[in-house]
Amino acid sequence: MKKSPKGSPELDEARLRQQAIGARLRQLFDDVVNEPVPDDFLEILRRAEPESSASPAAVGKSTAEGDEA
Amino acid sequence: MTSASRADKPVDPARDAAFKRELVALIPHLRAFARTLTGDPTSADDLAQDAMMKAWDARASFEMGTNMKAWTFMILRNQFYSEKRRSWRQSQLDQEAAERTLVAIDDPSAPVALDELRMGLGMLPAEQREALILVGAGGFAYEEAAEICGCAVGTVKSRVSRARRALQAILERGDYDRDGASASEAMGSILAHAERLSNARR
Repeated sequence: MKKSPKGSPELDEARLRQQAIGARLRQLFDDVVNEPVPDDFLEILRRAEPESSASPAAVGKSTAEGDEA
Repeated sequence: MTSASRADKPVDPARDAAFKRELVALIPHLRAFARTLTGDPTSADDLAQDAMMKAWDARASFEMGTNMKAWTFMILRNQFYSEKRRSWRQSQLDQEAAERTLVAIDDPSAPVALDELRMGLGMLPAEQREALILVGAGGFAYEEAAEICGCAVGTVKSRVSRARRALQAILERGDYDRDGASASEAMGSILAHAERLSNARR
């Protein structure tokens, strides 16, 4: 962003506030990204998985994709 | 990012495994998107789980090697709107806002309080909030954000710009909803103020 032609202190101030807000917004997001993933996410995914991809050794035993217990 | 159904395709364990690895790696990002979108941790995780499972169920239609993050974010976003979960946030806000006191900003470079930013985000129109989150925190280019939101690139740019001005106005004026009654009125005034700021910078 360019400095405003008039060098208005108000606009410089606005730019500083925008930077501060932007940094905090990223922190708000990244704080969640850095949280450990709750177990139930992986558990739900594991339950939905066909046996064939859960354990490649058992491919022959699997029936249709997407079948759920 | 979608393609014809491939339900007839045979099971491909190697592909499923690769898909799952990539999906699992995206869970933290889906949670963060849901959290910042809804503002409520519990409801956000429900939303993120729903999106994760929708992505898993639709894995056959995903083209491996393309942008899975954008694809899953689009699923989450559509889920959010289809279930009209926007109301989650508002009830949360009303409660928190009632206890809040406001601090004037003397130093423009002073750190922004995280809880105030959460409140401010919640006051933005949803389409501005999502655009700002995707571009300002999620690491998406405007073009990707446009694809996720199903709108034009120029629309995303405009929404992000408006969101930034509005957020700044909200945080500066401490105008977030304190009694649950004057929110829309305050918002109208804030948006008008943001428009003036925006115009002044051109």
